[in-house]
Amino acid sequence: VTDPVKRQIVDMLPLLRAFARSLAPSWDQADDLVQATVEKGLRNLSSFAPGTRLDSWLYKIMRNAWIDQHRAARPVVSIDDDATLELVGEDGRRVTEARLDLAHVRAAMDRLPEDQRAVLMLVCVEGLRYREVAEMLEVPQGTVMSRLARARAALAEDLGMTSRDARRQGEAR
Amino acid sequence: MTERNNEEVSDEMLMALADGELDSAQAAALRARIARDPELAQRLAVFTETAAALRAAFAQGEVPPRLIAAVEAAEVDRQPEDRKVVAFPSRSTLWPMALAASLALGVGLGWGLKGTNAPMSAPSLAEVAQAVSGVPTGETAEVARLGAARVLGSFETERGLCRLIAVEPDEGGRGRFVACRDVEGWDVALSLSDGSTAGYAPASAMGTEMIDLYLDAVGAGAALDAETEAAMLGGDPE
Repeated sequence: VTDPVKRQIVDMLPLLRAFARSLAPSWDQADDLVQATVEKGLRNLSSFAPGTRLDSWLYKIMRNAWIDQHRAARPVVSIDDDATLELVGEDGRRVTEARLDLAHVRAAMDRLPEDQRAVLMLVCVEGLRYREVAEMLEVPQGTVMSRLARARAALAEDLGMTSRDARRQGEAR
Repeated sequence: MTERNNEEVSDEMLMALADGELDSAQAAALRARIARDPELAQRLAVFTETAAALRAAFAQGEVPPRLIAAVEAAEVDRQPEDRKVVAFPSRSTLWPMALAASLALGVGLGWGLKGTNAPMSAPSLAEVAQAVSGVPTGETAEVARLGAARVLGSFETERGLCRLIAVEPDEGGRGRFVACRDVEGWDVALSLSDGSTAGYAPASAMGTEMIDLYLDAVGAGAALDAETEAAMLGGDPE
């Protein structure tokens, strides 16, 4: 890829996939969404204001694309089934006690509101700083933090991590 | 036993500690209180454990080639004037799993630790790992002749204890590396350089992915909680 914008977008693909996975309930659907987003973005590149954040701009395009798609079509994917299938597809050799819970984690994540899923993906999974996420989502940093705290409280509750003996990872179920 | 300090610790403070957002002084002070207060430790665990669970559940695989192809093939409607875009170092996007399993691996030749005009040479990454071997996850330490080093996580793996460490040198680009402990000390398994000194680079997401792939390849489980980590590091903080 020689075009600088295209190269920047290629480098950004993992981040865009994470964004997309916070909207879509499976990696397949997330990747379809990423593809639609980058194609639409590049087709409309003249409306991107230079000097602003390309990732914020693409995220807005992505959210709109996702909403449009779901206004047209009723959701058909059963979230729990999908999460379970993904687990089966994983390398069985490495499935530890903790990893057996991954399907539950995915299902619990999918039950959270979209704005909370986005901050969880960016901070907890992708390891971005609060400040970076705030800039990307164009919300105050305090909002990022309160969403994160609420989301994790709900997740911990849902996964039974708050119980007295759930102090170690392997016991959290 | 529950000794109350004058100030309540908020959930957001604990979360910021878990996410490595506190500066080293704040983090150390809070860690000290948590060490004395099991209830605080349990509240902190909610944040570290949810993050670890999410990382495990949503770890990305390789970027599908079809997405890269889609970017390449897409039509571009650009303004007539050639736009100035911040250049990111190009790097291989396809990351073969087998390569991730190799023991020593350096990515990003622009590693900025060897300062060009520094009178004394900067410490090696293995020395950095040694320097922070008493520093718990989430805390930042100042390493002499380098700058800040923050421990992002510790993992039990087939190679023994491995730690993910972020460095922000006073000079040169930021980076992350994975060091694993063997009988002779710390061995650097993987290092990634950001290649830029700018505050934000989307390429860091790629780095995260590579690190995940590496950790998966050596059979890493979820990040260790503070207690297990301290025990494995051998240094009882008390």
